[in-house]
This record gives sequence, structure tokens and C-alpha cells, in this order.
Amino acid sequence: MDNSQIYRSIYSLMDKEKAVLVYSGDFDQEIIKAMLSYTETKLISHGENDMVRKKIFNVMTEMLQNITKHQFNVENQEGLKPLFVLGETDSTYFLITANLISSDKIPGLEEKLLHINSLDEAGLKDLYKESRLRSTISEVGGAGLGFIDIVRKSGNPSEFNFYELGIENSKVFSYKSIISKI
Amino acid sequence: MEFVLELQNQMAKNNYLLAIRDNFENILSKSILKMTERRINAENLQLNVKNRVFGAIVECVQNICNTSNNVDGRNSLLLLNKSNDGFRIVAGTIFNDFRKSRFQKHLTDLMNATDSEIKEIKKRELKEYDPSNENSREILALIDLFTRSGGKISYSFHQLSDENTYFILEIDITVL
Repeated sequence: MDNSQIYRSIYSLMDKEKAVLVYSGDFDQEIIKAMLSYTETKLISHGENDMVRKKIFNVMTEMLQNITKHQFNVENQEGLKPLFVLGETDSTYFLITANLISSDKIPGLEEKLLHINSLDEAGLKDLYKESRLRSTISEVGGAGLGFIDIVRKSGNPSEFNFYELGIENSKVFSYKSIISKI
Repeated sequence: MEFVLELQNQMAKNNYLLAIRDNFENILSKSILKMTERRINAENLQLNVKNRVFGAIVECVQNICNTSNNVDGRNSLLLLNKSNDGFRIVAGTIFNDFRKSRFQKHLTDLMNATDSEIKEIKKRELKEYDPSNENSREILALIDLFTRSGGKISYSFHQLSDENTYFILEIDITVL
């Protein structure tokens, strides 16, 4: 594939999947701030509803912080960096993160995400309260409330997947949150 | 959601750091530039290289990707790629025939000009500079891109329809 084909392939993929912003690389507080500022400006310039804007902002912050805290680097896989995608369809905005995750963490995470997705609003509220009461701050600084918060704030269940990439002891964890337009 | 995996693979395999598909309206320029600046700052580079890369991105965002006839679409693309010896910036956008011929002429003129001839063109353009004139802004942007990259620029046009062409501009900034 020559360069021009690569550009067109990335563009076509983004166009087909309605992706607006794709960032691949290490995440830190500064890049998160810049990405949030881009998204905020974009939503304001499109006259997006305040409530939708707030939802996107909150969900995006949680998702980007999740990546910062949990980005997992595998030796000799320097090229494969965490990815963030912001997209917009006619009726929704969507946010996707994809990052490597250690295989031993998958069963616990999958169970947690399935449980969160199975709950209604009241159930999510209870789970949030309960999790807050018994939460301890992990060594990476999270209290395990992020995914509950994302589903509560977005108002939609999340979509997630674990993809095999042939890298020993790890998979790519992709997580999508959808925010409906009003 | 499998497209994410494909996108991640494409980005990783080819060392792409950032991809933005948008209409690059003026109001977004500042935050796009902030994002790219932060991304460049994360690389361990000499200040003059950072400045050259950032300056080239500014020109692309403001004068190539940002097109007045493209406000409603998301047809422009900005890619930042880390290569073995520096950075490659790729700007893509849709051109109508009129803009295509204008760019083709500017690029051919610049590619055939010597360094001193480019300086002369720049002087002339600055003397007659009219900020409301797209043609004037574009040629100055291209001169700036030529200067920052040391002439390492290539471009291609891909016909989309009878009236529209997709223009791709590649700018290489090498670390000396």
C-alpha cells in the first residue's frame, strides 16, 4: 500500500464510521485538556444542547482518565498505543477508547461491565452508592466508579469487546459510549 | 466496533499520532493547534524542529484544510506521522476545479523555483498582500511550507467527480 492509499484508507474508514477525531498515543493530563477543549468548542460552534454537551464532556473525561490510569504497555509493542475516537452520527455522538489490557484482568472487567449494563437507572444509582461506600483508591488512583458513571451519564449501556492481537498475555480492550442527541 | 481495531492497526503500523477529519472551521483552529502542539511537545525534539513542525501544521489547518466551500462537510483530513527521520504532515481536502488549477500552478511554480526565486515571490506577495484574497493567503502558506520543509513537499490530486478532486499534500520535516 503506498502512502496515498494509506491516507485514503484512514479517511475512508473515518468517513464510513463517522469518526471525527482519532488520537493514537500516550495520554496525559495536557493532551486530555486539549482534546476536551476541541470537543467543547466543536459542540458549542454547532449549537449543541447544554445537557448533551455536559454529558459528552463528563463521559469523555471519565473515558480519557481511564486510559491515562490504565494504559498498559507491552514490551516490544511500542507502536500499539491507546486510541481515542470521537464520532457523530445523525442522532448520536459516540466515544471509543481502545487500549491493551492484561489478559488476567479481562474476566473481572467483563463481569463488571456486563453487570453495569444489566442495571436500570435506579440499579445504577444503588450500585454507585454502594461502590462509593466500599471503595478504596487503587494504586493507579481510581475508585472503580468510572464505568458506572459513564453509563449513568451517557444514559445508554456501553458496548465493549476484547480483541485478540496475538500479543502474549494481553488483548485490545475497546469500549464505546453513546450519547443520544435531543 | 471492529473498525477501531483496523484504525488502531493502521495508525500504529504507519506511526500516525493524530488524525482529524473535519471541516476545520476557524473556531476550531485554536483547539486543533493546541492538541497538535501538545502532541509534538511530548516528543523529545529540538525547539527548532518543534517550531517547524508546528508552523507547518498551522499553515495546513488555516489555509489548506479550512476551506470556505466546505463548511457543512467533514471532508478535510489532517494526519501527523512520525517517520524515522522526522515528521510527516498530511493535509487533505476537496477542491473544486478552480482551486485545483490555482494550487497546481502555485505548486508547479514553487517546485521549479530556486531558493532565491522563492524569496522574490514571497517579497512580491507580501508587498501586494491582501488578507481577504484567498489566492494571496494560499501562496504565502505554500511558500512557508516549502521553507519549513526545505522543499520536501509532494502532492497528488484524486478525481472524485466532474467538479471535485481530493487534494493531498505531504510535508516532510526532517530532523537535521
